[in-house]
Amino acid sequence: MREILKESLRRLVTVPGPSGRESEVGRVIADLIRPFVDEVRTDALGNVIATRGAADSAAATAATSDAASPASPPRLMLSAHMDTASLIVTEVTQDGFARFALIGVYGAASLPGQAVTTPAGTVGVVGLDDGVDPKDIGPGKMHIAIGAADREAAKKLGVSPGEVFCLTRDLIDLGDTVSSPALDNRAGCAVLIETARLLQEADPAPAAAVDFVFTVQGAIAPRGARPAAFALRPSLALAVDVTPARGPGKPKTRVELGQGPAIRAKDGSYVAPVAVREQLARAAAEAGIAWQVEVSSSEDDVSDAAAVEIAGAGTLTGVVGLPARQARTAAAVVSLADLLAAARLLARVAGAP
Amino acid sequence: MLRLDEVKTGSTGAGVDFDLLAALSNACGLAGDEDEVRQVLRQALASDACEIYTDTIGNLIVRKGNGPVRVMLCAHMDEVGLMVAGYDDNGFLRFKESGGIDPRVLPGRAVRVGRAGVPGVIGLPAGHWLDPADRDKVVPPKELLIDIGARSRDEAVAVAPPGTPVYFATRFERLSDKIVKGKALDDRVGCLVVARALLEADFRDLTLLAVFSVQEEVGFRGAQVAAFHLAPGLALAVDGTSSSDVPGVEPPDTSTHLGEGPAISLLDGSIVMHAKLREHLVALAERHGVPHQYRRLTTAGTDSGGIFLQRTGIPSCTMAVPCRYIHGPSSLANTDDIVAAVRLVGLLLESVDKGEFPV
Amino acid sequence: MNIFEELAELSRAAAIHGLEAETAALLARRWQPWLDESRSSTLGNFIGLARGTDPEPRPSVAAVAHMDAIGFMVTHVETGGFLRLSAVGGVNRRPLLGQEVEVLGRRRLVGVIGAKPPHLSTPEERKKLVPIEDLSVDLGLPEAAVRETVRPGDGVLYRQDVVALRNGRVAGRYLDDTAGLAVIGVALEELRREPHSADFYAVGTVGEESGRLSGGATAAFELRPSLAVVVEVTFGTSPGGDDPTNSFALGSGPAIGIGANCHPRLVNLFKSAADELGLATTLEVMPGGSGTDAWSMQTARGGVPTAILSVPLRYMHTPVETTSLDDIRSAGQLLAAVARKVDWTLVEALSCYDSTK
Repeated sequence: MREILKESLRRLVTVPGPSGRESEVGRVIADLIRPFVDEVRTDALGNVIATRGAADSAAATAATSDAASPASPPRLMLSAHMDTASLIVTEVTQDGFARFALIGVYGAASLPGQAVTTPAGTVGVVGLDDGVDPKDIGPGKMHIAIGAADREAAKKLGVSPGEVFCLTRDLIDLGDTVSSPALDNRAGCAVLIETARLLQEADPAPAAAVDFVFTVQGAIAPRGARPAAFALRPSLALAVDVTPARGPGKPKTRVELGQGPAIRAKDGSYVAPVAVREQLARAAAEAGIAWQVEVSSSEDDVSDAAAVEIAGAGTLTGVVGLPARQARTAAAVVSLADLLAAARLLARVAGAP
Repeated sequence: MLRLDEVKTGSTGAGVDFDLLAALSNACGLAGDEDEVRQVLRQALASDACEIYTDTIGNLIVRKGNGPVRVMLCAHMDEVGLMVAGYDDNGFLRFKESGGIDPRVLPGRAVRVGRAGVPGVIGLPAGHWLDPADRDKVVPPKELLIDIGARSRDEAVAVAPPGTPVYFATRFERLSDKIVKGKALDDRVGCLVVARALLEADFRDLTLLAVFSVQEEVGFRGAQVAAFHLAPGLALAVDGTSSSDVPGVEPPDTSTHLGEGPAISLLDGSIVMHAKLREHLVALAERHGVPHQYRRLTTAGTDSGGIFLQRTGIPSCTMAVPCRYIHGPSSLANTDDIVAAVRLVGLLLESVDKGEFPV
Repeated sequence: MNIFEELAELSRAAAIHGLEAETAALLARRWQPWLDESRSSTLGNFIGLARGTDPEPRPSVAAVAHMDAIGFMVTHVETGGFLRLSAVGGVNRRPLLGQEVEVLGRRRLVGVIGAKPPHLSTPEERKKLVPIEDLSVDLGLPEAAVRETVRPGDGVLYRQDVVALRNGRVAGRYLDDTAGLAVIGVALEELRREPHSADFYAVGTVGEESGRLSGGATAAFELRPSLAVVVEVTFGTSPGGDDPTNSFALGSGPAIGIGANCHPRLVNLFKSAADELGLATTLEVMPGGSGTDAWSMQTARGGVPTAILSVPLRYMHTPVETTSLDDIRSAGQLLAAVARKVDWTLVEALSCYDSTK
């Protein structure tokens, strides 16, 4: 089970999937999840929706319907954003270096030295400009070297303003833990795929309809999840996302690696309904899964839930956080046990024994 | 003050309808108070529309055609400005800003107060009396006052009750063959582009929905409402965007350049543009030799940000006409960019009509 | 209605987002004589209905005030049984040191946000506010007892009963926005006296202080009201450093919002109704965002005409918020008067937005 999850992660973290251009990672995800679900489709914005159980026929008319009530019979929506933070080229210098802006929340200090790739496959390395004062370190003082001698050469490599680079370093296997710059939120995607696999294997097979939604643009803000929820009208929508865990130094969070999924009570823009927190806690207790509570004060901890709950006449939401040390940096580390536990928790909520 | 008999359409000089652009630029429309602009557009478009109406939040919706594919073009009617919010005992007006304005453009400005266009000025202390150190400081808007010549609080309240909109007193002018100057070019140029695209449109399989939206400057709010009730299959927002090709600014901080064509947006603070729609626009421009550029700024927001998350999701993109000194009292635009924008919108509509961009 | 009593009870029941159920139950109980039915929405909004007499389909007006208040959540229990906090909503940090609080654990506990005595703090320290993560709540209980009763995620509220000041002023916790709920209560009682054409929804929303205004948006989506009036509190004139454009005297009556978030016809309707009743009002200028539920309600579904009615309130977001009972009563009467005027002619006029008329 651990190996299967590791393999999914290995595959997922090297696919460049910047916000707004998720089609390639969407394809990889569709391939990985297809064996475990009844249907996979893509919506108008590129969200990948994999459904276990009957598709909601009303969803087809939701584009023009005014549906206010949840779908009947009830559906469970599990979401994870499939895009990662990315670097958008704003300018190419005379000497063929790419200047960039950071899209999404990410620790810029961890960028220099990282390998980056465009969706078309051009590779580069992020460098810190010469003579930069350590306290001035930021994307504005960095560049991407692509091996081009000048602008023309860069253009031939497909690099001109508007092109996007992602951090696509191979997964580093540390045994019980793994590291990759793309764990936010490929870890979440891997957990959803694992949940689908568990549901497929569950005996007896759970009856509830489950929509696994891999959303777009979530690395920037909870966006893609909202129209997906509007179409699906779930009774409960759980967002799965990476959340910071304590590491060396002066951490601001109480979440620990290896203590199980973090059930979120609140974050920068959202308070989880108590009923949902209690439902998750109960499911965890019944399945013998250790879990922790997360009370976040950070504006950076924003999940799909904030956008889903406002869809239509309101949707019950929750957030299952995957603890990651150095989250949203190139040194991010997650525990495989935490990820597996999260998948088991979600499967339990979906009706697995 | 706008006189509706000044609104004629058709005099196109360098391919641009200057009469309509002048009427649009001179018309006054703050977020939530876009009436005058609405009237100019109604007058210009009513005879050509299949259907024309105002919705609950004030968007002007103009429909042309009845085809199965619904395409929404969106340009916002509101401009940044001020609103009367208080008074002092000497008859001066206090104000709040509507939309984002650099506070440095306010002192020393001539303004027009209310629908009647009562003249006023935003005064400031004569430099003679200030400490040298203070002469260089930016005056916070809270400390600025509008002088309409009133001599008492009562007089001021009677002439300009709380909530009265205040506009820059800029008159539209052509500075040269290609360069126009006026207030609110963001987004009256967009309104012009959409209006012309509508007037020139003739498509079999499209329902063309031109939305002249409200309240974009305070959060692209009209666009959200329109997109929900119109439920288009795709949307293009035509906005004005910052062009800083001025001394002391190097690319990419210039963002866009006047005269290099409409700027296709990659992303902004509210949306990453729909990749396929964006690529299609660029491909059309290249295929037909229409000048175009990319918007380098990745911040701020446009109506597309309000549209794309409505209902089950709507592929959206923003195309913008470069304007120097945007959100200031006098901005500049190049008419070649406007003409190219109209052309590109037309090409997009034609292409969608032919089924080249599945919706 | 005894407005002081209404405020006292609502203030006692008020809590942070996520814990609004007690307030919803209280509203159901207190407003029951004036409502035909009541229920809760998926997210926990309270929705009460006083039916109109027009034949169906009837127009409807939704009067909206939020049930949630600002406060904190426990982040963890420390050695010694002290609690650490994370703010929920825009907490004003200045009154925190030395403030008594209520902790909503397995049972309600009383605690104190401890402050170092002046003898032990340096002059430098005393010039700065303590960041919230460095504050701690002392429950006066042994650590084991605390751990048994309090868990991370539990709510923590200001502790301050409503007290009567002179001249009909009241002070206490969470008058933002129990004052708004009280206004709606006054309107409901008034409307019950005589039949009215349109349906009147009395709505208590969740999560206004700490989210993305989902309570308001989802209520608008679900109810599809012909128009919505959000009843809030606004900045009351108080000593020292008032911004003259953002300050309304206690006793000057309700403030009618004007700006992008307020449908101009509704603004005029409120003004003329106030004139008819001989009620003093002021205008609150909000060119853009209003910071209220009206912001998300106005763009819900295909758009909802919104208006904002506010009661002046001093010391907002502190435990000693202060307002005037007269202002609440006037606002309630004005709200009822406007609700009586809602019929299809008005609604038709609203749906075609044009402020010249």
